Amino acid sequence: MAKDILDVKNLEVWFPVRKGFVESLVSKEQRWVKAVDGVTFNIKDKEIFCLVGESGCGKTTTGKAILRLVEPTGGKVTYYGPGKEVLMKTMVKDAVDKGKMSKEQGDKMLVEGGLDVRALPRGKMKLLRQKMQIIFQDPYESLNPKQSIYDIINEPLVVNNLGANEKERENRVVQALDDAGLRPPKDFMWRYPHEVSGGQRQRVGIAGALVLSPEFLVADEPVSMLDVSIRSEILKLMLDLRNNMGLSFLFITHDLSVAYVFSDRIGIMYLGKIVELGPTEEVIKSPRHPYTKALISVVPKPDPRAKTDKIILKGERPDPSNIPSGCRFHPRCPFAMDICKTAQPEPLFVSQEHWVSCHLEKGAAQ
Amino acid sequence: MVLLEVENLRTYFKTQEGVLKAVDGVDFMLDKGQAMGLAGESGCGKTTAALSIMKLLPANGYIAGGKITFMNQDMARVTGDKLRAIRWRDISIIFQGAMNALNPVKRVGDQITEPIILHEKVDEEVAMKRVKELFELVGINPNRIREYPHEFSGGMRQRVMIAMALACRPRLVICDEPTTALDVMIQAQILALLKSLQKELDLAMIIISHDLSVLAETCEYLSIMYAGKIVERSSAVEVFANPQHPYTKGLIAAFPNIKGAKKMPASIAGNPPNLIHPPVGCRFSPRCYMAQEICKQEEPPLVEVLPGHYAACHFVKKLG
Repeated sequence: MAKDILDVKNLEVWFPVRKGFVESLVSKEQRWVKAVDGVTFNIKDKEIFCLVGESGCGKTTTGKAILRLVEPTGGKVTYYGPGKEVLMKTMVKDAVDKGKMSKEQGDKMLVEGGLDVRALPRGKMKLLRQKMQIIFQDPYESLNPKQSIYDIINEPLVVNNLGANEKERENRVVQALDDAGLRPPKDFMWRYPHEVSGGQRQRVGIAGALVLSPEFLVADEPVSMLDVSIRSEILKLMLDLRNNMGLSFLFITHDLSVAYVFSDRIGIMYLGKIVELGPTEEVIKSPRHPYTKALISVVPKPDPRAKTDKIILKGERPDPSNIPSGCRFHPRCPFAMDICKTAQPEPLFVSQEHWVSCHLEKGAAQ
Repeated sequence: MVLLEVENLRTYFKTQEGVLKAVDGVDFMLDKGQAMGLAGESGCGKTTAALSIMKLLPANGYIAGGKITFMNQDMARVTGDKLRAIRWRDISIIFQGAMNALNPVKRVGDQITEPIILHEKVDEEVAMKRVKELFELVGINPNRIREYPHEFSGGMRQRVMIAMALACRPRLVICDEPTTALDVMIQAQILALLKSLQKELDLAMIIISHDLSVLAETCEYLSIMYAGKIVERSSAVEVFANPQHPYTKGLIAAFPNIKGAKKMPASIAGNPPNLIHPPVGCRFSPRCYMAQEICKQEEPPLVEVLPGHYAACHFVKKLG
């Protein structure tokens, strides 16, 4: 079995709710928006792992929390990528040199051969983020319109003090553009974002991540703003990056059909928790959780003759500051039983790599 | 009964670089109670075509040619008060990102009564009663009419916009990307709602979307647009079962199908052309895998390939 590159255990991101004056008088209790509430998964080396869910389910927050772009409030993130060795050496040497840290302390951050991301001092995250990069959703807003494409891609190098001189940096920028499929790179380098098409902008975003030669990429809805006709080109580019450069991906999307064709394993998220996780084909072809089944049934099919029975859930997702008791899906679940209102279902493996959190499974097993 | 007929519509925009031919010779027809989908990539002119029908073009846009007949009136001659009466009473439109189009400082109920009072000259009480009926129709609790837009979720706001579009019982509703900003589950709710409204109110609809699968689920007829022209037109079932134009084939192949095998969908190489200087000949030829010499010189006409199925390509056989 392939080694892991990333392991996420019980990740929690809770945002405090600020109370009004009156409320602070009558209630001492601190309320939280539990955006991510105990998420556990792992990503194998060279794997494309996909998180799917409705907006507001916490999938983007999960991606950002892994890179500590939002600070997790609980849980553990362990990074196993090969880049961490180099990183540890630089970091520990630096800290020991300055007398800020003893060597033992540095070694502690290595847990079972991995690097505890949450234990890293904030200032050192920059080093780790060279290996873990993120691609954002909107290629129209994530690029600075006043910078040329060269400047946009060069900036990460400057910020991280990489490349000995201008010439070397230029070579790396050219290489990144080429890797992102903007060929020939010299044609694109001096253009501005408004001078290239939407698909090419997203490639610029990808090149900006690639220039640091990362090992792991978080791709947050990278194709949802693009026209359908060019989506698969961007997806293919990411597949190539995986196959040729050995990158691993956390792919975040709300579009199950994109997740289906693109990912190796898939996790279905609902209101801050993963409810079902397994190999993509198995989850899509034989879903176990009622939420997964409903999500799959409502994906529009490009075939007017395909009359499928849709499970259209009533209402919208509940407020993450007021999560329902028991199974958090029970108010919308067509099969909710009494136990669902009181007890949280534990994950249950239905095959070697496929697990689901639902009380129905337990009932079926007994 | 023919409700709307669009013949050879040309809508151009004056820009600094020259005249942009956003819609350049578009024909279609719509019967009472029929739903037609208008599909194409962004920038292909589908929204402009719809805005031309309602004469809602921006200041630099103008209708350069063609004829739009709506309920036996030539829309070119309808202006001023007459035009204002037709908008909303007979044709209404749900804009793209409509859920952000509500006025945040007015109660939703008041926003919907406004057109009713203006168009039908009724008093507020009657209008409010109508709004309550409308809310029920689109699946919102009628007690919520005194709430403000921020108290509604995205899907609910979209329902409010649909209620507003239906306020004066129009014959034709144009929906511009009605579900693009919504989640799959909410999208399914809204599409089911549109479908049931169409049946219940005998409503004609033009649904504009880049998402063929959304149109496949809601429309009986489909027109595929590319670079300001309709390249294929037929019933939805026909278009999907028997696509004739290479662009249509490419679009359909670009959709990942969750029911099919796990494989990457194909893509259409290249980008849509610049409509200020569109390519000579067939506009799709620079991206077409079948393109020959003739495609770069001559523009193919839209011909009937099968009964009721039209396509504009040099390599389709004309019926008969």
